[in-house]
This record gives sequence, C-alpha cells and structure tokens, in this order.
Amino acid sequence: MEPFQYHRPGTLSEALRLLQNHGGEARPLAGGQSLMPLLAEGILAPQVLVNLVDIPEMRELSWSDSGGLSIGAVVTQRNLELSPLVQARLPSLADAVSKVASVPVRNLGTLGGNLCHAGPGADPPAILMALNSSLRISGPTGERVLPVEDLFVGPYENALAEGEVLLAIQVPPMPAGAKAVYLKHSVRAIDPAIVGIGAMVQVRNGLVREARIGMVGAGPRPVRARGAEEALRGRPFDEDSIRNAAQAAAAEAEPLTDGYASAGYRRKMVAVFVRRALEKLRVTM
Amino acid sequence: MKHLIKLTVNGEEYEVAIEPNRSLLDVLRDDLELTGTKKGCETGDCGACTVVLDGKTVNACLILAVSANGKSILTIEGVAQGGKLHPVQEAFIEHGAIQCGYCTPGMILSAKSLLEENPRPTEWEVREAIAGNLCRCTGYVKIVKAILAVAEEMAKAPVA
Repeated sequence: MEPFQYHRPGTLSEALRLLQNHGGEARPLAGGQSLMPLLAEGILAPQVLVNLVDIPEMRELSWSDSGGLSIGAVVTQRNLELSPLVQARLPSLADAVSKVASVPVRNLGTLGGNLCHAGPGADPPAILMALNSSLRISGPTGERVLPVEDLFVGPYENALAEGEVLLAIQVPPMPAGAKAVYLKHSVRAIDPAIVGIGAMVQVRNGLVREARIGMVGAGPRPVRARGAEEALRGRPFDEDSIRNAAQAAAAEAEPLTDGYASAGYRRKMVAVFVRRALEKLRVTM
Repeated sequence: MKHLIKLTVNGEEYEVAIEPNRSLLDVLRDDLELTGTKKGCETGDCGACTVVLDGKTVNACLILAVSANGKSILTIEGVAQGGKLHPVQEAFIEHGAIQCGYCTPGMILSAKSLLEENPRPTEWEVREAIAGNLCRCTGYVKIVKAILAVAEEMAKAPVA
C-alpha cells in the first residue's frame, strides 16, 4: 500500500469539505471490502482517504410507511441481512444481501460501498433495481436523487461527481400484492454472480400490472431488463409470458467473458435465471 | 504521519504508533508478533486472516489498523482459556480437521462465531459460515464434521 493521509470526520459537512479540498486525490472509504484489495495490489493509490463510517446520517436504518426503507450508505450488509425490520418489510433485499461474498466481508462491507464500487457481478444492484430504489447523493452544491440504475456507468465506474458521496439508499414499500426475489448463479458462494436476477412482479385482476427486473453479471454494468419487463406487463402471469420475458432478457443482455464464465454461457444463464425467478414468484401468487 | 492507536487484543491493551497504510493483519503479525493470524491472499478471498473484531468475524487484511482504533480483537492466540483448548479446537484435533494447518486459525474463529450465534446449525449453515475460509488441502468434510460435533456436544451438555 502506498502512503496516504487518513481522515475520519464525524460530520457530513466535514467529510464533504475534506473531499472537496483534496479534489481527485481523495477517496471516500466505507467498509473497505472493495477498496482495500485495490490499495493492497497498488491498483489505486489515493493520497487521502476519508473514512465515512462515523457520519450519523450515513449510519441510519429506518422505515416510514410512505417512503419505505432508508438505508444509510455505511450500514453493513450483515446488519441489513439480519435486521428484523428488513426481513419483515423487504425479505428479498435481506436475502439478496446475504448472498454477498462471505460473513466476514459482510460484517465490514457496506451497502453503499458495494454500490459505489460498481462491480459488474455485485448482488445488491439487481434486487435494488427490481425494488425501484433511489439514491440520495450529497455534494458540495447540495443533495440530488438518482434512480439506482443510473449509478452504474461501466465496470467499476459510478456516476458520482468529484466531491460527491452516496448518503443513503431509499427502497419504497412493496406495491400491494407484489412479490420480489433475487436469484444468484455462482460456482462458489463467495464469488461475484455469474448472473444475478432480481425480479419484482405485481399482478392485478389476473394481469401483470408492474414488472421490474434487474440483472447483474449480464453486461459491463447492472441493468434493467426492460424488454423482459415489457413482455410481462399487461399480460397474464403464465408460462407463455415468462418464457417470452426470459428470451427477451437474454436478447438484451450484453454479457462479457471473464475468468468466471464466457459471454455465451452468461446469455444462456440469463434466460434460465429470469425464468426461474419469475416461476418462483408465480407459484407464490 | 503516524497515528497513535489503541487496540485491545485477547484482553490485553496495546498502544501502537502506525502509518495509516498498514492493515490490521500486518500490525497484529509484525508489531504485536501475534503470528497465529495467517496471511494468505490479502484480498479478502481466503479467510486465513479471520479475526473477531468487536464480536464479529472480519478479514484482518481488509481493514486498516487505524480504522480499528479503540476496538477489541480476538485472535486465535486468545481462544484457549487458562491453558485449556476451546471445544472447537478440541473437535478439530479429534476429527482430524487439520491438514497443513494454514486455514485452521480462521476456520476455528469462523466456527466459534457461528456456534455463538447459532448453537444448532444445519450442515448447510456450517458450510455457508465457512464459505469465506478456503482450505487448500480441501479438508472440508472433516472440518464440517468437527463443527457439527461441537454443536451436538453443546446440545447435550447442561447449560452452565
């Protein structure tokens, strides 16, 4: 690890000031589970690290019936997974987060850090997209809100501007009668997803009223499977519409080849796992 | 610039002056000379450096020592009490759940943490709990058996 200055501000304003003062030389640090390997291997060598874990607004985990779940950016994945609140209100989110790496990694790793790292095979983006989540981002000029899918610009590249930090993740309450699920395909539990599918479907009067599908591992960045969603909306939630949605998702995926799987295999698995996720939802409705 | 930090390790208090670019793993091994915590991949994949930080297992390679300031840490050296091995350690010996031994400190700490949180784990839960600890001798079957045996013994033993 190259030398760096280390700061641990106690307030958001102090953190923003530090990040702004040091410009591109500074990096925010949360749980460090993605950043530490990059520092250890010399891939990143920032001159300044700003540890965000003490910032009160980023540590909150709360629920409101109108806004849903608000997850401070430095809440750990393990805390989310074990939270009775999250398990009761958004069980698919608790389950998806429990699929990240290993217990020790989840004990330190934060949801905000996972998202900002923007790994193509990270699990949480898939379910967060399906659940229609948005991000509260804070920067020198104030706060802005971004749909979660707009955070991911490319592999390991996020949409935050210099000096901005992710403050919290907002997950709305489940729409009436909707169900959601996350399915991960990986060889070892600790690996990133070869393919991960988050799906949320709401059926009303026998027809799909709303469908949102998030895919990870299916391209250079997490994306919504908009064609698959379209193949479901307004139709009966049956074998035909599910088959069409799975085919649409495979067609719109832009998978890459890496050490875990080839692009061709990934495309096939997108179809398989979209179908399985939707079937899983259908049998519970 | 060096930072002065306080760590409580296996019940003993330490004060060390360190540069911020040092992992907790390096400070434990090189400054405190507690080499029972092993250094494997340094990228959080192998779990050889698993320690318990404020009651939770973490990879010591993935946290800066300076970020652990004020925290309480349990390493493998602190698991045996008063010269008596912990039941998980006993079970690993009993079941031959050790081959080269490199993953063992991390395995023991992950297993101990699991059983404290969940005294009656299923085999699947045991496997999930040690998913972050790689055994390159591939001795998983005996490791899983050893952990399940401790759970069974604990269930039989009268509650102290």
